Amino acid sequence: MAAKPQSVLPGMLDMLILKCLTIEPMHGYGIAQSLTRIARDAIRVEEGSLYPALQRLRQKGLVTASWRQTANNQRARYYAITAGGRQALGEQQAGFDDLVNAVRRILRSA
Amino acid sequence: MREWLTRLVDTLRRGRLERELQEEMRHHQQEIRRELANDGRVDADREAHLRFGSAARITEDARDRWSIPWAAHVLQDCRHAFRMFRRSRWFSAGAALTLAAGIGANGAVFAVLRAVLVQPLPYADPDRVVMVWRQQIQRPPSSRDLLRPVFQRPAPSGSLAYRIHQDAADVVESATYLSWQGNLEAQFDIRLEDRAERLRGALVTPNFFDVLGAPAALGRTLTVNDEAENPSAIVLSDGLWRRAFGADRGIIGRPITLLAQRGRVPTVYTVVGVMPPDFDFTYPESTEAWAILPWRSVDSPTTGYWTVARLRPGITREAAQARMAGIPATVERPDLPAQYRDTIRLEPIGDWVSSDTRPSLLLLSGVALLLLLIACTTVASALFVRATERQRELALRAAIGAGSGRLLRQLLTEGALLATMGAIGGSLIAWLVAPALRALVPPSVPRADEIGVDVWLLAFFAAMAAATTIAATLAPAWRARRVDVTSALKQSGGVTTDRSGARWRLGLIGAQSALAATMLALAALLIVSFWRLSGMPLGYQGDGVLTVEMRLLSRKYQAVRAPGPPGSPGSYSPSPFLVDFQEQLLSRVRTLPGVPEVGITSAVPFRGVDFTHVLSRTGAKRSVAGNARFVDTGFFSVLRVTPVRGRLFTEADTLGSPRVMVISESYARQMFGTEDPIGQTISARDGTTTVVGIVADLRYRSFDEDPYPAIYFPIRQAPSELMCLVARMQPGASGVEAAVRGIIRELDPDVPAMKMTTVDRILATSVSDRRFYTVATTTLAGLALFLTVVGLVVVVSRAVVERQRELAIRVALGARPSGLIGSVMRQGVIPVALGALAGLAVVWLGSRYVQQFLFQTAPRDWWLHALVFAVIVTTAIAAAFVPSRRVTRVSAAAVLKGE
Repeated sequence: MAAKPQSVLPGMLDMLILKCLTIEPMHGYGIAQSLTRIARDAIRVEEGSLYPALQRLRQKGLVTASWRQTANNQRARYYAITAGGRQALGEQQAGFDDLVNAVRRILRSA
Repeated sequence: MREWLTRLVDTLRRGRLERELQEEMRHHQQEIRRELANDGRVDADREAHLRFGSAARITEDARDRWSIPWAAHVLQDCRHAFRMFRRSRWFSAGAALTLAAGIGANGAVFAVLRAVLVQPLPYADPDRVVMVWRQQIQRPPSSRDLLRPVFQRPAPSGSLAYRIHQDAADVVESATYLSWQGNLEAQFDIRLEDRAERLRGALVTPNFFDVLGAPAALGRTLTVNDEAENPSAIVLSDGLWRRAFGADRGIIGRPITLLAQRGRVPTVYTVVGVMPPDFDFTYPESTEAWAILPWRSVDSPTTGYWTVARLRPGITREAAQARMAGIPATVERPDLPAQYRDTIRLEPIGDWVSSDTRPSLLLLSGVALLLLLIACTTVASALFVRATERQRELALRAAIGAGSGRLLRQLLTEGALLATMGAIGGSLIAWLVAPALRALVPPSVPRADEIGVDVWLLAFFAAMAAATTIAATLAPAWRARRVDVTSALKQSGGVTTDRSGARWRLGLIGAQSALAATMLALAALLIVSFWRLSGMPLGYQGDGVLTVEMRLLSRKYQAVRAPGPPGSPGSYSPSPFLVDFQEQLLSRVRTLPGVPEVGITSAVPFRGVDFTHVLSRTGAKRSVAGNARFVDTGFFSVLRVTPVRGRLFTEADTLGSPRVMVISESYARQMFGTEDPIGQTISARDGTTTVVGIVADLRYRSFDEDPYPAIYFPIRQAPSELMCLVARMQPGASGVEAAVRGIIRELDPDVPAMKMTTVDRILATSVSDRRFYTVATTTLAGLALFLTVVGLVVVVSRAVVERQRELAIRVALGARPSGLIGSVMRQGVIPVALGALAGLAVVWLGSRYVQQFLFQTAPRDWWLHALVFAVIVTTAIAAAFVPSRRVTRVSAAAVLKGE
């Protein structure tokens, strides 16, 4: 069943990026790839919008950025999650769970 | 917080961040394209664009993260403001300097005010500590110099002090002391390695430190138990501890020997404590040692004891004062008429400490505040002028789409920057001047060592300046709203004529001139007072005369009683040691190189003890009081005093010869009226004395007190244990001071050589506070005049520019240049003259307050006011002439064609 891909709710993008980066440091394209792969195409992200989000996360000190060579010998900027980033991710995840549960309760009631 | 910091850093490296972003986006897009190509998609480019989104928009989004919106604008505004400042360099520097002068002067003056009047004294809860004075109900009317204490402060008698301690114990805890100030018995001498020194020592009841609430820095203070258990306990000041004991921390509990009591007997004291450096009780000169005054010895009707008290918790000063009212009656003679009975006055200790300096300091701070006002008005009026010039610029910017908020912010930035520069400069001035002030303030100012710049005060003045500046810079924006953009732009040559602006400017220059006139009039009155005061004829010449005071208190110098016939009181003859000391001192000092003349007196002009003797003519009842001075043959010639009639003392006037005296002219008048005093005799307890000469009245107390009648006795016939050397030094003589000290030490190492100085220095010190306030006020007034001139020049130059067209037409119609110059100058000079009149009127109306600072000068002195007015108007005319000369250079053709 191929449902129409959902766009990401505002504020969720940061959480998803941080989650991806817990696997390993990645460049922007890598993050986009893994988001699509993990969500099995159920979520669609305009890939360019990752970059303002990454700038925001970097300024908040949740990720760090460094230039490295890619597997096929190109220069790319790799982002890594920081300790603060992991903590923020945990908080956001907990908040998201609460939200989802609350929404579910409402939908199932009556 | 951290995020903003990073953002700020990012703002600065925006360029690099953007390059990096472009590179990583390119990489991303390439990857997408390759992926699509591998999948064999045909419209890879479109697909890639869909997946990635608009790179331009994303860059724009990211860019927002690299800047702090207001910071960027502020930076831009600052850059613009600095460009404006650079373009009108002199204007901006002048405005900033003007503000700096106002802020700096106030920062410095208020630093003094704060140290003297505001800062709490170093006691626990100093507001609860009061001085206890005896106050006569009838105060003698004294319209004299109120720079001196307004109230006389007689100390209560010992009995009264004792009663207060006993009977008012429920409202105050009082302590009593014998001060070193003017009280011989309370002083100690200390033997140092190379000399003896008189200490400023006090005797205090053992609860003294508890009443003040002042703990010791080392050891302890006196306690109530010390009176019985440890009567030799003594507390030292920090200064004495350092000077005499090398700051030895082991001093506590150690016995020290001081020469104490009337006969300077070596006495052992035990040091129990050292006070902290900031502790002080007597201002401006600090007490150096405190020994115990037993309560039982206080209770005496003859000696005056100073008393300080702490109000009990919950008792107000009024309540304590009311409680005191009944006490004097119990110790006073009930037969005294009511007007001679005393009451007790409680005075907050802070008032006592600052009483002498308070009026002068308030005057000075008032003058300083006026200067700040002038500085603010000057800058405001200059900014107003510039605002008119900038109207075109602002209109242009509004026309090309600058929002009114944006323009407002720009002007605000300019004002704030200007104020900041002024504040920085002012703080710098205050910081530089305050330490100098500490050295310059007259010795009579208490707590001068505590003078320091206060950041909050500076901030306050800076804020005042900033408010003015910003208000003045914003004015054009406020007016610009009413100015029609098109009409402003159409104005020829960028010159706008704005009637309300011109009115403002004239008002401001007038106000400035009024303030300056007030200050100048005050300064002029002070200068004339000072000039009259220091010009008072003294009757002697003291320049280059070295003086040193000695008091021979040791027992061996005391007069010996010659055994008379049984039943008679016997007669006293001077101690041979005293006579020998006197003769040796004179002969040895006389041999010093550079000292041609030497004399001895019991009292130095403007200083020392002037005994009052009440004598009467032989056979007459009426008696006349005079200051008795005991002098040698050299005294009169050293001070260049010549006899008006008769002769002065000679070597022939000795112990064995007939007793003689010299009297002053006023004494002669009071005692003998129109009779010739020479050869008349005056009776004293121990025989008669013949008047041999008359000298002029010498102004001996201060410049502003009329000479008191005086009588002189030869020291050979009446040796005095109080001995002041006066030695006229040749100009350029050096080492005399040290040599004289050496001679005194050789004669008796236990005799302290006190207060060594020169007579002219004593005279100068006596008016040093007047000099200080006069110089300070004059300096500030001068600055005020200068600022007013600056303001005037700006206003007149502006008038010339504004009236260019009108003037050009008048030139074209054949007006003479001199007439035009006059018409332009009038525009500036008339408001200045009107302002000056207003300022002088303020002094005129406030003459009651001004009077107390003056000496033989009427605050409404007509001539002086006229002079100040003339100075201001002349200066204004001269200042206005320079810019108005440009009128003659106006080329009618050029201006009119330029339309």
